[in-house]
Amino acid sequence: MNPFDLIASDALQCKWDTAPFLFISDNVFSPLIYYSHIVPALAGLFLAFVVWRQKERFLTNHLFIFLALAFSLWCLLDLMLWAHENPSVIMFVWSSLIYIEPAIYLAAAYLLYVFTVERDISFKTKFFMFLTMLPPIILGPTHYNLTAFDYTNCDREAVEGPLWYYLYFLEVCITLWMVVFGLRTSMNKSLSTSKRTQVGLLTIGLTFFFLAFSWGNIVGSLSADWSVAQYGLFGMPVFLGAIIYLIVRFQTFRIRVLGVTALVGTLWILLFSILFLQTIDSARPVIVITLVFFGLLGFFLVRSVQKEIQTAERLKILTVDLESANAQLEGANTKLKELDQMKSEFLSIASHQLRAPITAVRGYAANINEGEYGKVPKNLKEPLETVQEAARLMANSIEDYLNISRIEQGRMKYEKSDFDFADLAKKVVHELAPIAEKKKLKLSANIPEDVMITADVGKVKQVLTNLIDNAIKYTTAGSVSVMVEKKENVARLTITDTGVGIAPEEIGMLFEKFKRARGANKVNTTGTGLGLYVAKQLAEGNGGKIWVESDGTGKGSRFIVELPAK
Amino acid sequence: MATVDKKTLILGIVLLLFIGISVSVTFYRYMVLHDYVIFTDPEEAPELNIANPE
Repeated sequence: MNPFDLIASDALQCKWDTAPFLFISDNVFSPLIYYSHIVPALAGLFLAFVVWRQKERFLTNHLFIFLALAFSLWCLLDLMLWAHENPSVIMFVWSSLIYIEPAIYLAAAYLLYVFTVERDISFKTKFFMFLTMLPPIILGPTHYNLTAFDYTNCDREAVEGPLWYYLYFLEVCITLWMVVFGLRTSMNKSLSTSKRTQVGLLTIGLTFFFLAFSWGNIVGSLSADWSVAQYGLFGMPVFLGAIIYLIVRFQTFRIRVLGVTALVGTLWILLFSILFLQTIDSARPVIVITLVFFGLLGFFLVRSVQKEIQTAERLKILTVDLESANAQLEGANTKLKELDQMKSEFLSIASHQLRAPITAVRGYAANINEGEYGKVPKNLKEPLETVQEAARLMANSIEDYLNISRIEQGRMKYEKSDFDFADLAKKVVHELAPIAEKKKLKLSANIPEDVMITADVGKVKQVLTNLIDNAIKYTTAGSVSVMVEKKENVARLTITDTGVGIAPEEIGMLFEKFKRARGANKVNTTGTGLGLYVAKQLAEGNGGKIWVESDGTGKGSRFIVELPAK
Repeated sequence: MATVDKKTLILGIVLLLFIGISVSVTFYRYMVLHDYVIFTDPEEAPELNIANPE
């Protein structure tokens, strides 16, 4: 008999309402059906939409969107089964569920795996999943799917065939796998606590959801009382709660909290509006509980959003401040470079201007002292020596300033030639001997003959003068000894003094510009902190190196300079 | 994070194609041909109606 003829004859006199909008009709006798179907369907659609809006496209996001959409479709199709009166539509829609249900389970297992392991499954596994889908695909249109339409009563139900038992078996297997896999992973101590918590939450959400879902469908199928299945969808709020918590707490699926808040707010309004549907009298308590649940979730989310906004605003202000500070620093840096350049130029000019007169002062003081302009009275001897010494120190300082100026402007030139390093050392010792003698210091020299090196003789002399002069300046009593030796390819000069010594923490910075050892001022007030810096620069410019050794404050020091031997 | 490779894409397309064909056949069978058995006699299907015996 043609099904339409059968309905027309209305043998059972079923009072079926027509469902012009597919989902809305009085045929839906059970009050919880709308609640249990519309809320999860819309929740799924909204979540899929929120995840889809994210710019980043991760496999987990794709899988989640697919899962949410497939589940929403399932809910809407199932609702059609409750609402529709046409047997052909019911048969078609019911048989279509055989494709969607396994897809939901497989997508969930796939999602859990990728989320946990953070890589895709192998192609073999994908192919295996494809194979599990083949029975529904091949047998879907046959009587193995739906055997018949049951018109022995007015419930508008199809009679499920053996294919559904295969499906239920598959669902139970996948759910069990998810439970075992999720539990095992969340107890794996080699993973971080955060990851374990995330996997644990996702597993709880999925398990709760699928146990309720499978249980509802299987019991409905076995008992033919499909009103039981409506409770199976109540696992959805738990799943939803777990997913939203994951998103907010762990930034899973990279969704902004604001988006999720909008989602929860929309769901809350939706649930609230369902309260006013006429057909749901007995479902009101359940809806009220769900409203409270979503209310709490909403409160938690709003707080998170507030925090997020505050942090973003603070970050924005900090960024602006940082940019402005950066610009100021850049400006200051440029200005400083200009000033540094100007300083070097000024130093160079001023030093040149000072060098000529101080040379004249030195020269004439020496000439007078030596009696070239007549006999020098005894009482003038000491003042003349003081003038000579002061002029010598000043000339040295001017030479240091000039050298620094040349080094910093990159104008220092080295005119290298072969000369006897030992001879040069002897000359410098000889020149500085009167100063040591005046301080009652023993200046000894252990210098062999003929230590040839290739370097700029003027610069090397400056180095030796600075080092020996320095040793004399910072030694109040005792001795200063100078030793020259040839070691393989280097000529080494060691100046050992019994002076103030250097604390270990100061050794590293002694050759820096304007740096002096602590307490150096007490021994020598005229030091500028440039002598050692210049000596180091000049020694390195000649291919050599310079360093200092000391056993500590008050224990003397050893300055060593090495230059490449010929 | 993994991206979709070519083999997976082909497998997915084949799966969707198969499902599409299967759904189309089902649609044609039920919605166009109305080709399905209808149980009208409770004796015909005694295992049914456990919950709603009326």
